Amino acid sequence: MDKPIEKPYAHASNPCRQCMPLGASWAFKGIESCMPVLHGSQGCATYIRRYMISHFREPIDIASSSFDETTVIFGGEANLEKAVLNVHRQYHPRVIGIGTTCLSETIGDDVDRFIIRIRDKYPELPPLIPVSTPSYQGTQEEGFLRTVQGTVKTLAGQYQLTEEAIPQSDGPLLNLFMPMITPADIRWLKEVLSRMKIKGTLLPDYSDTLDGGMWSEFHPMPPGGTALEQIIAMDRADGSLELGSDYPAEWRPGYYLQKRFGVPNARCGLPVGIDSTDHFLSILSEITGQEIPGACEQARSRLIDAYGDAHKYLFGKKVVLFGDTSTVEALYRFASEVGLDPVLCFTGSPSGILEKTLEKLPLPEASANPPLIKENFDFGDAEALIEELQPDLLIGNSKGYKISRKMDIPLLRVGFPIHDRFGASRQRMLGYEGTASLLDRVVNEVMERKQSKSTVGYTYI
Amino acid sequence: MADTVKTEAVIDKMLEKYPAKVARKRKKAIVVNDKDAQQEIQANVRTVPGIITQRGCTYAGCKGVVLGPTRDIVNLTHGPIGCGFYSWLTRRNQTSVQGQTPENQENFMTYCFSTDMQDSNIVFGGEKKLRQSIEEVYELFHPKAIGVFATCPVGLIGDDIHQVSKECTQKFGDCNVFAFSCEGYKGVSQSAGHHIANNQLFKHVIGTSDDYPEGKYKINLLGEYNIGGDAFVIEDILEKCGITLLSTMSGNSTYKGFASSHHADLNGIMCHRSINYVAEMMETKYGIPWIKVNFIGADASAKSLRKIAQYFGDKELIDRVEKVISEEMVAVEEARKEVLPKTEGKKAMLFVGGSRAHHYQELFKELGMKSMAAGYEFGHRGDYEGREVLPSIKVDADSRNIEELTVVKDEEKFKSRISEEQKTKLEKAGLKFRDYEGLMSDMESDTLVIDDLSHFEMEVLIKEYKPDVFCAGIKEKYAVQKMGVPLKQLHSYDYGGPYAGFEGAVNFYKDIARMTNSKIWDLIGAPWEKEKTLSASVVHDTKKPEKEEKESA
Repeated sequence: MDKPIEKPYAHASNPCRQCMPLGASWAFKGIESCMPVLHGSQGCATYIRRYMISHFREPIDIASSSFDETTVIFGGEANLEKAVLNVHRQYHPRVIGIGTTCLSETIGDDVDRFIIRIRDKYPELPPLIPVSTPSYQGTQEEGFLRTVQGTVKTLAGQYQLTEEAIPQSDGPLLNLFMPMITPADIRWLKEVLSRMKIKGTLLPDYSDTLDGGMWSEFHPMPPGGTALEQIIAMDRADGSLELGSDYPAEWRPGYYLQKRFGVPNARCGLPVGIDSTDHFLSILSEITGQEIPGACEQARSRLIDAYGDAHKYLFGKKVVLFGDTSTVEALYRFASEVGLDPVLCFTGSPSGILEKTLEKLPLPEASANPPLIKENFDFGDAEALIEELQPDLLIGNSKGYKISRKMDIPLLRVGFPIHDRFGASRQRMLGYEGTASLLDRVVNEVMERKQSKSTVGYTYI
Repeated sequence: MADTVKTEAVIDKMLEKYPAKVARKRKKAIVVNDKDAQQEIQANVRTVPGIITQRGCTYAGCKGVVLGPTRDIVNLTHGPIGCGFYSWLTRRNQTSVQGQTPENQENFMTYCFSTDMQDSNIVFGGEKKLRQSIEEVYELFHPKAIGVFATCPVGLIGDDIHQVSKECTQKFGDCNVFAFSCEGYKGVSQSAGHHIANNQLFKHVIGTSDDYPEGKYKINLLGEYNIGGDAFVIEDILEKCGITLLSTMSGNSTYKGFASSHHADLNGIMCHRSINYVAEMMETKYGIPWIKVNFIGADASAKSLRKIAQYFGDKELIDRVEKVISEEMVAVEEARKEVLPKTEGKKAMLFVGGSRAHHYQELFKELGMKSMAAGYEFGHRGDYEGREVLPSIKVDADSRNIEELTVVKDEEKFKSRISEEQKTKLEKAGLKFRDYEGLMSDMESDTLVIDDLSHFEMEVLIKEYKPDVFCAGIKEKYAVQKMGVPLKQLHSYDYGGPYAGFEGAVNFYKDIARMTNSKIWDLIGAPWEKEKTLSASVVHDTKKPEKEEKESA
């Protein structure tokens, strides 16, 4: 990775990102019967639980090794051992995921080594997955991806599977890796794979664990998630597909599987919009040799029809897009397709990926000038710029509301966190149908604004 | 919970999954209440690693809870980005600048400022970045004060945040910069953070203004954080009564309010846990007596107003307070009459805070509901057993590493508010000074009192008792509701409220009546699935009562 992008100020004001342990906890929640343990002060687990729950409105348990002052001095091994054992005895998870924090990283705890010793001492423990996620590096996005990669590294091809556990399928076996998307979008991906008769292992799959129904009986761990056996068998897949931005190799699980086990790997951006979804389906068909189902064509056709209908509302409207890299990239491609003019795209991530990716893309039809692309950028930096740009719409997470309110510009909530609107888990934007749903929301936001500001002729808009 | 056998069995169930040592430790934090006995409960001890706790950290208590609601002090987190982000207006404390003079209109609460430490700062130290950040914030806003909050790594890498702050104060001249060593790992819970916050406020802000505020019957309200607008309601009531509120610590508060709070003649404490030390220190240094008040519950609010009036002993005030109470109680009685048939006899559990698990029992009492189990997230023994146990609590390592300020009488600013003779007279008449009897004496016998309830223990309680409403926070809400029991958040009020005072009581009555009578939970199980269960049970057991069939569906 190149040197992180410098900020204009020493301090951050109203950040557009969270820390790595949040991403780690989120990814661990997509593994079946997995309890995340954050190795550090108990506040990290509490804050992150609190924050994720306000978005998902679901139970989210995260344990902690609860450091105190002596732990800080003598190291966290004993605390980690206690934490793992207590989690094991109370919840009987099938996997325990361990993310580090700024505290354990600063004192130099060697978690990999601790785990070897703990496993030797207690062979009855389930697999323990260590991931290094210090909060003073990267963002939640990086933490999420590193955790997925760490999970694959720890499990794939590393444990013996019984005969029954080895995945059997008439169709091709595919590993599918996703960045932080909504549970509803994961469900769509599963549906596509099922329609194409592909046996897919999606990782992480939090479509049930972070968006579940009522419980008729008590569950110590919420049902759902990618099964341990499926992850262990990932080295046997016919191929891997990674969705999302062009992240560095050291974050990417598909890249690792290719290098280590020779599983062919492909990558494409999130399938949002016609072009990206076409590309996604083609790659899927190419890797697996399966045909694209006819229903996709109908959905595609309906979406183009909707694009045509929406054009008069959206063309030339200036939008500001913000959030994590993959989401902003996907929104940018979508905005270009539907005739929006993305004047500013920003992310809190300092990785440099967004700029590199967007610069390569053609100038959107509606844009007279290339968009401003900012990384390691926060809302404090963005405020003056947005004031100057006078966009018609903001698309991003709830944290943009302060600017939205101050400048009277509508904010369409997409991404994480969304804590001032309902149904974040059910939002869709992937695939032709998901894009149509996003399009409806964008158009309605623009229409509503036009309607409420019109003094005459507001019945038909 | 008259069934003692069942209670014991439930306690066993809560403990059986723990290793023996952990079970022994947790057992001391679980007490079957006996109103008439002086029972001891283990509280304010470290959570065992791997036990999922409700508790937060020292930083959360300091920055999030105590300093969070003060609008005109810029809060700057010194650390990696996460802590600042997660404490960015998440506690839902509110502030209002309406009707304020321009100098009191500054509001920085909607901002999250952080030094955003990167790995190079961890390796080479963060003081330079901190200094630069403070200077930037000062240049941008020219605030009256800047608070600097340490996160975990700061204590380890040895940044001297206090020295940097001191130098900045000297350099700026018109901005008070002070720091808090509130690293997350420091204490048992957020309670340590409250203490650190209050110590620094006491050292750097309280009593620094000589402006003498006008008004009759001057008081401060301590430990009220204006969640959901509670402080606004209390401010209104006090105004109606003609009582002058100099400062609330720290709901809807300002720097100026803190600075001149030493001119008050009485301190009323809402949350005993988070702030009793400030009241103690203010009494020693400035001579302001303190009493415990509680504005949660209509009856409790009335009682608290009467206590304040009794202290000042002025007939004009006493009459006015009685008038306000009788006016306010009309709407309260009306609302109570309407909801009582829906709530009477129902059962509640409360596991929250350092005072809320106690205060909210008042509202449940008014609703005819029984609080069958309760406990604090970060309370100390005194908050359970009453202040009389304070001298017997041993100082452990965790308490020792929080600075204990030595406070002496301020010869210049000390003013004796009340003579010993008057005090004795008032005490004889029932007004108790420096007194808090704790939660246990207010709960019925045979109810359960549990400190630092773990997530696992909570699930056992829900499964075994199925209360009609469970009160906790957002972390517990959705797990409890998955099991068909409604949860009322008493940290954020489920974005409802206010619940304080008379107006708040009415809001709470309505919310609880709505929650405990919701038909949503009856929809669990599709009708075709229910039919299957029904026909199966008809075949196997014709005598099975209908209610059980519904539950098993």
